[in-house]
Amino acid sequence: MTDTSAQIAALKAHGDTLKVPLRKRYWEIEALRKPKLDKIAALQAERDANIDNLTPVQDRAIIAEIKHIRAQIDPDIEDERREILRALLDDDGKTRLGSP
Amino acid sequence: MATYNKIQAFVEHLAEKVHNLGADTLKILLSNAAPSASGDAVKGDLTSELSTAGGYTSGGSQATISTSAQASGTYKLVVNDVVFTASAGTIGPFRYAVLYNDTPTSPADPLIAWWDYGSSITLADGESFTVDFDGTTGVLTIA
Repeated sequence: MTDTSAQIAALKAHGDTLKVPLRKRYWEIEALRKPKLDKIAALQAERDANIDNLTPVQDRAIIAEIKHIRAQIDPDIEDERREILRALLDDDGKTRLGSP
Repeated sequence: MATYNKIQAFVEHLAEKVHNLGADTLKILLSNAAPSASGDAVKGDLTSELSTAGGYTSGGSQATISTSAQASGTYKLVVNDVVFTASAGTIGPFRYAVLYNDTPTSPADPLIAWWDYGSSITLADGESFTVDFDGTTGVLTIA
Protein backbone atom coordinates (compact mmCIF):
# COMPACT_ATOMS: atom_id res chain seq x y z
CA MET A 1 0.00 0.00 0.00
CA THR A 2 1.40 3.41 -0.98
CA ASP A 3 1.49 6.28 1.50
CA THR A 4 -1.38 7.88 -0.36
CA SER A 5 -3.43 4.68 -0.30
CA ALA A 6 -2.84 4.40 3.43
CA GLN A 7 -3.91 8.01 3.94
CA ILE A 8 -7.05 7.48 1.90
CA ALA A 9 -7.91 4.40 3.93
CA ALA A 10 -7.38 6.41 7.10
CA LEU A 11 -9.48 9.23 5.70
CA LYS A 12 -12.38 6.87 5.15
CA ALA A 13 -12.03 5.63 8.69
CA HIS A 14 -11.56 8.94 10.47
CA GLY A 15 -13.16 11.64 8.36
CA ASP A 16 -12.29 15.09 7.18
CA THR A 17 -9.39 15.96 9.47
CA LEU A 18 -7.08 13.74 7.41
CA LYS A 19 -7.79 15.60 4.20
CA VAL A 20 -5.00 18.05 5.03
CA PRO A 21 -2.06 15.72 4.24
CA LEU A 22 -3.80 14.56 1.09
CA ARG A 23 -4.17 18.13 -0.09
CA LYS A 24 -0.49 18.72 0.70
CA ARG A 25 0.49 15.64 -1.35
CA TYR A 26 -1.74 16.81 -4.21
CA TRP A 27 0.20 20.05 -4.48
CA GLU A 28 3.53 18.20 -4.20
CA ILE A 29 2.47 16.08 -7.17
CA GLU A 30 1.36 19.14 -9.09
CA ALA A 31 4.82 20.66 -8.58
CA LEU A 32 6.42 17.47 -9.91
CA ARG A 33 4.35 17.19 -13.06
CA LYS A 34 3.91 20.88 -13.87
CA PRO A 35 7.29 21.52 -15.60
CA LYS A 36 6.70 18.72 -18.11
CA LEU A 37 3.07 19.67 -18.63
CA ASP A 38 4.13 23.27 -19.20
CA LYS A 39 6.59 22.12 -21.87
CA ILE A 40 3.87 20.09 -23.57
CA ALA A 41 1.43 23.01 -23.36
CA ALA A 42 4.03 25.34 -24.91
CA LEU A 43 4.61 22.93 -27.80
CA GLN A 44 0.87 22.52 -28.28
CA ALA A 45 0.38 26.28 -28.27
CA GLU A 46 3.14 26.70 -30.85
CA ARG A 47 1.60 23.95 -32.97
CA ASP A 48 -1.92 25.37 -32.60
CA ALA A 49 -0.72 28.84 -33.64
CA ASN A 50 0.88 27.50 -36.81
CA ILE A 51 -1.33 24.51 -37.53
CA ASP A 52 -2.33 25.74 -40.99
CA ASN A 53 1.23 26.51 -42.02
CA LEU A 54 3.23 23.54 -40.74
CA THR A 55 4.53 21.06 -43.26
CA PRO A 56 3.71 17.43 -42.48
CA VAL A 57 7.33 16.87 -41.51
CA GLN A 58 7.33 19.84 -39.12
CA ASP A 59 4.02 18.74 -37.63
CA ARG A 60 5.23 15.20 -37.07
CA ALA A 61 8.38 16.51 -35.38
CA ILE A 62 6.36 18.55 -32.87
CA ILE A 63 3.99 15.63 -32.25
CA ALA A 64 6.96 13.34 -31.62
CA GLU A 65 8.41 15.84 -29.13
CA ILE A 66 5.06 16.11 -27.32
CA LYS A 67 4.84 12.34 -27.06
CA HIS A 68 8.46 12.09 -25.92
CA ILE A 69 7.87 14.52 -23.03
CA ARG A 70 4.57 12.86 -22.11
CA ALA A 71 6.34 9.51 -21.86
CA GLN A 72 8.61 11.01 -19.19
CA ILE A 73 5.70 11.68 -16.82
CA ASP A 74 5.54 8.93 -14.25
CA PRO A 75 2.20 7.10 -14.65
CA ASP A 76 2.27 6.21 -10.95
CA ILE A 77 2.25 9.93 -10.11
CA GLU A 78 -0.73 10.42 -12.40
CA ASP A 79 -2.55 7.53 -10.75
CA GLU A 80 -1.76 8.90 -7.30
CA ARG A 81 -3.09 12.34 -8.24
CA ARG A 82 -6.27 10.77 -9.58
CA GLU A 83 -6.62 8.70 -6.40
CA ILE A 84 -6.25 11.78 -4.19
CA LEU A 85 -8.75 13.82 -6.17
CA ARG A 86 -11.27 11.01 -5.99
CA ALA A 87 -10.78 10.62 -2.25
CA LEU A 88 -11.33 14.33 -1.63
CA LEU A 89 -14.50 14.60 -3.67
CA ASP A 90 -17.69 15.30 -1.82
CA ASP A 91 -20.95 13.71 -2.91
CA ASP A 92 -21.74 16.67 -5.13
CA GLY A 93 -18.40 16.51 -6.90
CA LYS A 94 -16.92 19.48 -5.06
CA THR A 95 -13.87 19.61 -2.89
CA ARG A 96 -11.53 22.10 -1.30
CA LEU A 97 -7.97 21.72 -2.46
CA GLY A 98 -6.78 24.91 -0.78
CA SER A 99 -3.64 26.55 -2.10
CA PRO A 100 -0.14 25.06 -2.52
CA MET B 1 -18.17 10.44 -13.32
CA ALA B 2 -21.35 11.19 -15.14
CA THR B 3 -22.36 9.29 -18.25
CA TYR B 4 -20.43 9.77 -21.49
CA ASN B 5 -22.45 11.24 -24.37
CA LYS B 6 -20.94 11.16 -27.84
CA ILE B 7 -21.19 14.05 -30.28
CA GLN B 8 -22.25 12.31 -33.48
CA ALA B 9 -20.14 14.49 -35.77
CA PHE B 10 -17.04 13.42 -33.83
CA VAL B 11 -16.79 10.06 -35.59
CA GLU B 12 -16.87 11.72 -39.02
CA HIS B 13 -14.27 14.27 -37.94
CA LEU B 14 -12.13 11.43 -36.65
CA ALA B 15 -12.38 9.53 -39.92
CA GLU B 16 -11.65 12.64 -41.96
CA LYS B 17 -8.41 13.59 -40.18
CA VAL B 18 -9.71 16.52 -38.18
CA HIS B 19 -8.40 15.14 -34.86
CA ASN B 20 -5.00 14.01 -33.68
CA LEU B 21 -5.94 12.86 -30.21
CA GLY B 22 -2.31 12.18 -29.34
CA ALA B 23 -1.11 15.73 -29.81
CA ASP B 24 -3.96 18.21 -30.15
CA THR B 25 -5.04 20.56 -27.37
CA LEU B 26 -8.12 19.08 -25.75
CA LYS B 27 -10.21 21.22 -23.43
CA ILE B 28 -13.16 20.90 -21.08
CA LEU B 29 -15.70 23.70 -20.95
CA LEU B 30 -18.64 24.08 -18.58
CA SER B 31 -22.19 24.77 -19.73
CA ASN B 32 -25.62 24.92 -18.21
CA ALA B 33 -27.46 23.69 -21.31
CA ALA B 34 -27.21 20.22 -22.77
CA PRO B 35 -25.39 19.93 -26.09
CA SER B 36 -27.25 18.25 -28.92
CA ALA B 37 -25.65 14.96 -29.92
CA SER B 38 -26.93 15.27 -33.48
CA GLY B 39 -27.09 19.04 -33.93
CA ASP B 40 -23.91 20.36 -32.33
CA ALA B 41 -20.59 19.72 -34.04
CA VAL B 42 -18.27 22.54 -32.98
CA LYS B 43 -17.87 24.75 -29.92
CA GLY B 44 -19.51 27.62 -31.77
CA ASP B 45 -22.75 25.63 -31.88
CA LEU B 46 -23.04 25.74 -28.09
CA THR B 47 -25.10 28.53 -26.62
CA SER B 48 -24.71 28.31 -22.87
CA GLU B 49 -21.04 28.07 -22.03
CA LEU B 50 -20.14 29.91 -18.86
CA SER B 51 -18.60 33.32 -19.32
CA THR B 52 -15.23 34.22 -17.85
CA ALA B 53 -15.78 34.84 -14.15
CA GLY B 54 -14.81 33.60 -10.69
CA GLY B 55 -11.73 31.73 -11.88
CA TYR B 56 -13.39 30.16 -14.92
CA THR B 57 -12.09 31.23 -18.32
CA SER B 58 -14.35 31.14 -21.36
CA GLY B 59 -13.22 28.18 -23.48
CA GLY B 60 -12.54 26.08 -20.42
CA SER B 61 -9.40 24.38 -19.18
CA GLN B 62 -6.98 22.06 -20.90
CA ALA B 63 -7.48 18.33 -20.42
CA THR B 64 -3.96 17.00 -20.57
CA ILE B 65 -3.58 13.71 -22.37
CA SER B 66 -2.30 10.89 -20.23
CA THR B 67 -2.37 8.03 -22.74
CA SER B 68 -3.13 7.87 -26.43
CA ALA B 69 -2.28 4.38 -27.61
CA GLN B 70 -3.62 1.10 -28.86
CA ALA B 71 -3.31 -2.39 -27.43
CA SER B 72 -4.39 -5.49 -29.32
CA GLY B 73 -6.07 -3.31 -31.91
CA THR B 74 -8.15 -1.22 -29.54
CA TYR B 75 -7.26 2.44 -29.20
CA LYS B 76 -7.78 4.16 -25.85
CA LEU B 77 -7.63 7.84 -24.97
CA VAL B 78 -6.99 8.66 -21.32
CA VAL B 79 -6.91 12.25 -20.10
CA ASN B 80 -6.11 13.58 -16.67
CA ASP B 81 -8.78 14.88 -14.37
CA VAL B 82 -9.57 18.55 -14.86
CA VAL B 83 -10.02 20.70 -11.77
CA PHE B 84 -11.94 23.98 -11.79
CA THR B 85 -11.50 26.16 -8.71
CA ALA B 86 -13.62 29.20 -7.94
CA SER B 87 -11.62 32.20 -6.80
CA ALA B 88 -12.74 35.74 -6.06
CA GLY B 89 -16.28 34.78 -6.97
CA THR B 90 -18.43 31.85 -7.96
CA ILE B 91 -18.40 29.53 -10.96
CA GLY B 92 -21.74 28.47 -12.34
CA PRO B 93 -24.36 27.40 -12.38
CA PHE B 94 -23.32 24.63 -14.74
CA ARG B 95 -24.47 21.07 -15.30
CA TYR B 96 -22.51 19.83 -18.31
CA ALA B 97 -18.80 19.30 -18.95
CA VAL B 98 -18.01 19.32 -22.65
CA LEU B 99 -14.82 17.93 -24.20
CA TYR B 100 -13.62 19.52 -27.42
CA ASN B 101 -10.52 19.86 -29.54
CA ASP B 102 -9.04 23.36 -29.54
CA THR B 103 -6.43 22.71 -32.25
CA PRO B 104 -8.27 22.26 -35.56
CA THR B 105 -9.20 25.35 -37.52
CA SER B 106 -11.43 23.74 -40.14
CA PRO B 107 -13.80 22.98 -38.62
CA ALA B 108 -12.78 25.09 -35.65
CA ASP B 109 -13.00 23.57 -32.18
CA PRO B 110 -14.82 20.32 -32.99
CA LEU B 111 -16.76 18.78 -30.12
CA ILE B 112 -16.02 15.25 -28.91
CA ALA B 113 -18.35 14.38 -26.03
CA TRP B 114 -20.07 15.68 -22.94
CA TRP B 115 -21.05 14.55 -19.46
CA ASP B 116 -24.26 15.38 -17.61
CA TYR B 117 -23.95 15.84 -13.84
CA GLY B 118 -27.68 15.58 -13.28
CA SER B 119 -28.33 19.00 -11.72
CA SER B 120 -26.85 22.45 -11.85
CA ILE B 121 -23.82 23.10 -9.68
CA THR B 122 -22.40 26.39 -8.43
CA LEU B 123 -18.94 26.56 -6.91
CA ALA B 124 -18.51 28.95 -4.02
CA ASP B 125 -15.26 30.87 -3.65
CA GLY B 126 -12.51 28.36 -2.80
CA GLU B 127 -14.43 25.28 -3.87
CA SER B 128 -13.15 23.03 -6.62
CA PHE B 129 -14.95 20.77 -9.05
CA THR B 130 -13.16 17.79 -10.52
CA VAL B 131 -14.11 16.38 -13.87
CA ASP B 132 -13.17 12.89 -12.80
CA PHE B 133 -12.11 10.83 -15.81
CA ASP B 134 -11.66 7.11 -15.40
CA GLY B 135 -7.97 6.28 -15.57
CA THR B 136 -8.55 2.67 -16.52
CA THR B 137 -11.26 2.74 -19.14
CA GLY B 138 -10.28 6.15 -20.45
CA VAL B 139 -12.44 8.77 -22.13
CA LEU B 140 -13.13 6.67 -25.20
CA THR B 141 -11.99 3.60 -27.05
CA ILE B 142 -11.94 2.84 -30.77
CA ALA B 143 -11.88 -0.75 -31.92
